[in-house]
Amino acid sequence: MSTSNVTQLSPTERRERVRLQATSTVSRRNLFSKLYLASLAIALTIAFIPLFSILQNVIGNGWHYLTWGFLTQSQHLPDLMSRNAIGGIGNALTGTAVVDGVALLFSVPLALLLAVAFFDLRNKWTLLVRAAMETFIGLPSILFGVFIYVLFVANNHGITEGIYGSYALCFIIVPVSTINCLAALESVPKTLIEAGLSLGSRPSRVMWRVVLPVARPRILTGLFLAFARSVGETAPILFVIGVSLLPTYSLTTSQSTLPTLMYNYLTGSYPSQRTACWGIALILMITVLVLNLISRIFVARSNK
Amino acid sequence: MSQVEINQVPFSTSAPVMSIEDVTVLFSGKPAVKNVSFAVEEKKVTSMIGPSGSGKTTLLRSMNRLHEMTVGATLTGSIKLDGTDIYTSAIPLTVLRSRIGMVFQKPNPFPTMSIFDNVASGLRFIGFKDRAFLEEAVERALVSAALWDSVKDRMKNAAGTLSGGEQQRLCIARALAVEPEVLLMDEPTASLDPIATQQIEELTQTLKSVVTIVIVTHNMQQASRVSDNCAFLLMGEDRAGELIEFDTTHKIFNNPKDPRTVDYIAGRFG
Repeated sequence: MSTSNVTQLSPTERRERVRLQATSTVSRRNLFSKLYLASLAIALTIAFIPLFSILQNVIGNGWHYLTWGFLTQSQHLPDLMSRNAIGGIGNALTGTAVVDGVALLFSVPLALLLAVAFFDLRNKWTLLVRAAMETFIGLPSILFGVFIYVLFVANNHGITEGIYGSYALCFIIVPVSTINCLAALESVPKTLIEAGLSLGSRPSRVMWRVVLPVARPRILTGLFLAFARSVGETAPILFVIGVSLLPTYSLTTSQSTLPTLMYNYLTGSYPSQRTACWGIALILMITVLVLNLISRIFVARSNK
Repeated sequence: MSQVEINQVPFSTSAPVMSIEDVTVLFSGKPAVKNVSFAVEEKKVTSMIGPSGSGKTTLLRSMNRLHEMTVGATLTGSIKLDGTDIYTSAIPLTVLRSRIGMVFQKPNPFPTMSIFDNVASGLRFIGFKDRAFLEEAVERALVSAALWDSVKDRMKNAAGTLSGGEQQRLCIARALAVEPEVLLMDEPTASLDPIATQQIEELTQTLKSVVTIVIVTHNMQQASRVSDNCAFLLMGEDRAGELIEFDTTHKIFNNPKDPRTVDYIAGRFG
């Protein structure tokens, strides 16, 4: 169609032309919309089925392990008399609390200080450390386990201690938490910092009395999520903390955590231990869910 | 303007509490405002007017060294407070900023603190802890900011529960609590409704007997209402602001010397 033909149309003819085009393609566009919605529905179903299946299996097979006895007793090996007497996970619960708790104790102050350093100082050293940290986030977590193993365990006659697991977990918690804390600090409006400085406060006071309180909800959410992730970490701590059959609060002895217990059960030779893994998986799932909920409640409360 | 001309400004019966002497502010080597000289008279309101981009806010922020927050900011010339150059180490930076306070365009009370804690924050940052002292200072500051009667029964409430105009007066009270000599106001009514604007304007008239006020405003009617002296700035061809004229407000608005001032006052450009 040459340009000259189009410009010869009158306004009414032009309007007619547009209407004709619109009405003639209605059915095709309807069909396309339906196909589009259908493909979205199919994607949702594909995603939903495995999720639902996992939930169903874990809850279905694991719920009857949610007993006080299971949670508090320590594990013991089933004997010939009662093949199902596997005891409980009490030792792994204390182990998880100790190893993960200590890891948090080391990681949180470090992550906070690093985030403040990245926020305040902009020189080649902070940029270098920051780039390294962002790389660490993408590394497979087993690398940290291997590093700690070679450093502490292999050279030390193979002695495993709970605290080595804490060290390995720090490599995982610190990078993620630092980046999260930094994002929280950067989300504080700059005008608040200016107001603080204009009152004659030194910069460190403005940081701790103005910026951090405003960033606190977001920082805490990130820390809860980092803790939730560390609870489920297996690979980095598997080789360095060993096994403990009794609940112990010591860091210098071997420990078991929930994920390592699950690994040991799955690779062991007792069927009753293997089925008990459903219960452990359910407990892990509930722990992560509760931690997420707490962090959300906290954010909602502080936004009020 | 040279040093001699500043001292011969005819209306200065009182000594200048601040003097801007041939100041050029540069960001990464590019001047944002250049060769500005004028005197800020004590216990008077000095306004800086001009269209957007003329460097008024940059100049204001250089008066309490806040422009240094931007990386690559430098300044030539000197700004003096009571005769002492504020860009030397003679006055510590934190002390300087408590002597020259600032109020911002959008009210910015500290959101996690109560009304009382906001007003007391400046004093607490300096190190005051005595509760009785703080309570008295907070009350005095809120009275000066004409906010005491509204908030005296809700001092523990969060600062965010106040209206826009009240929040701005809270910020003024917060700045006044550290007993500054000069109060810099960067378009303080730009985000407020007309009634709140009027209240702030009236406040400047009562406050000027206590603090010297320097106010940046792009509303020249406001400048004519509230200020005693007025500086008119304009962006030059090199995109750097310069001082076109500085005189009493009355002269600037009724009998300006420079034709560009005449045009701006007449509203021929914004």
